[in-house]
Amino acid sequence: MRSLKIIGVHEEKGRIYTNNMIRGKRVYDEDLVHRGPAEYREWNPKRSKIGAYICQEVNDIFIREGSTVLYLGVANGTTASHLSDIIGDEGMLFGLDFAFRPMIDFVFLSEERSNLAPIFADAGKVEEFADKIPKEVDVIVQDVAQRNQAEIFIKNVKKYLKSGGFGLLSVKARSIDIKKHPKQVFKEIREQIEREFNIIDFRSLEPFEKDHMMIVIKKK
Amino acid sequence: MNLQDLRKKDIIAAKADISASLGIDNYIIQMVAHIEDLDSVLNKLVKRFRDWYELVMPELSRAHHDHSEFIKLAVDMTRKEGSMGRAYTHEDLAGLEVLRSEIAHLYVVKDEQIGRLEGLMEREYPNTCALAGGLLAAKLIRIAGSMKKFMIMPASTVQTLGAEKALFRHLRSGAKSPKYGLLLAHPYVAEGENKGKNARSMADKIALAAKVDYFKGDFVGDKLKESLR
Repeated sequence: MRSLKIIGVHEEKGRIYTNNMIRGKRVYDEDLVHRGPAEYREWNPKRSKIGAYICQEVNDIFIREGSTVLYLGVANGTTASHLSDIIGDEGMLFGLDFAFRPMIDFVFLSEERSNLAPIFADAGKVEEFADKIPKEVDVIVQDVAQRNQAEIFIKNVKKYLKSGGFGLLSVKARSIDIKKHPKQVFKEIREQIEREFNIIDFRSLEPFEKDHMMIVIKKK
Repeated sequence: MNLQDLRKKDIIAAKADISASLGIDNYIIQMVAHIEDLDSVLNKLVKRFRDWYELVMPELSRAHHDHSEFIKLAVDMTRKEGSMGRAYTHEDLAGLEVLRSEIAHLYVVKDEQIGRLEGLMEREYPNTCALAGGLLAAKLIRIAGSMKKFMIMPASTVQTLGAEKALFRHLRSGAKSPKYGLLLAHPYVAEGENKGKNARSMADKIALAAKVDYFKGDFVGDKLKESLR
C-alpha cells in the first residue's frame, strides 16, 4: 500500500483505498483490507464520481484533513463515506439530497460517523438550508442529475464557498440535454462556469462513467 | 455554533423533514410495485407448475393458456385415458398439489391487493380513476414519482409514460415517436380502431382529471369520460 499525492488516499495494484474511520465496518459492499495496524476501505471508482476522478491520475482533490465540505447530491453516502475517512475527526461534511430513500441511508450513516451531517433539501434552493450549514465551507462537491446543474453549482459556490476554496462539479451530459451531443453539452457548461469562476481542471471520467466530466474551480 | 452542535441539529431536522415529506403517494407507489412483484413471481411459479404438471396431463395444460384458469382446473391430477402423461400415485403428487394451491392462493391475494389499491385510489384521486381505472392511474403516478409531478405533466408526456425507452430513442436518433406507453393497458386504447389517436385523447383527459384531483376539485370524471366517446 502506498500513499498517493492526494491526501488521505492510498493505492495498491491499481486499486484505491481510504483509511477506515470506523474499524471493521463496511458502508456499502466494499472490501476491507488490512496492512499492519491499519484498515483500509476500497474505493470503487465505478460507484463514485470522485473515485473515478482520482483514477484519472490527478494530483489533488482539494479535500484535506479537517476540511468542511458541502456535498450536493450526496445520495446514500457512498462517496461521502470516503471523504469522511479523509477529513477525519476535525472535518465535517454536510450532505444534501432531495430524495428520501437514499437520505434515510445517509441519516443512519451520519449517526455512525461523527463528521457527517444530513440535510434533506433541494440543492437549488440555497436559502432553505442556510441555517443548516456554516456560513462558509472549504470545498463544495456537486453530483446532481438535474438539468440546471451548472446553475445550481454557481449559486452554491457564490453563496457558501470561502474565498480561495475549491469546487468539484461532476457533469452528467445526459441529464442536461439528451438531444445534444455530450461534447456540445460539456462545451456549453464549461463556458457557463468559466464566466463565473476560474476553472483549474476539466476532464472526462471515462471509462468509469459514460458521458461524465469533472470540472474543478477555484474561487477568487 | 460549533460544527458538532450543527451536525446534531441537522440530524434531528433531517429526520423530521423526511417524515413530513412522506405522503399517500409513497404508499400507493409501493403498493403498485408490490402488485407487479406478485405478477412476476406468479409467472415464474406457474411456468414451473406447467412444466411439472405436464408429466401428469400435458393436454390440460395446453388447452388452457390463461394461467389462473388453468391453475383452478389443474386441481384434477388423475391421468385420463390416452394421455401422454403418467399416472403418479396420490402420495407422489402431494408436492405438485402444494405448489398448485399456493399459486391459487397468490392469485386471490393479488386480486385482493388490487382491490385495496383501487379503493385507496378511488378515495384519493376519483377523477383520474374514472378515466384510467385505479390500477393504471397508480402505475402512471409511480412513473411520475408523485401525483404532484404527474399533475404538472402535459398530456403529451402522459401519453408516452411507460415508453421512455422508445421516446428517448426517438429524441436521440430520430426514430419514430412512440404513440402510447402504459395507456395501452386501457381498453379504450387497446381496442380502439386508431390506437394512437385514442391514446392522445385519453392522455388529454387524464391530464385534466389529474389536475382536478390534485387541487381537490369537484367530480367531473364522468363528464370527461363521456367526452371520449
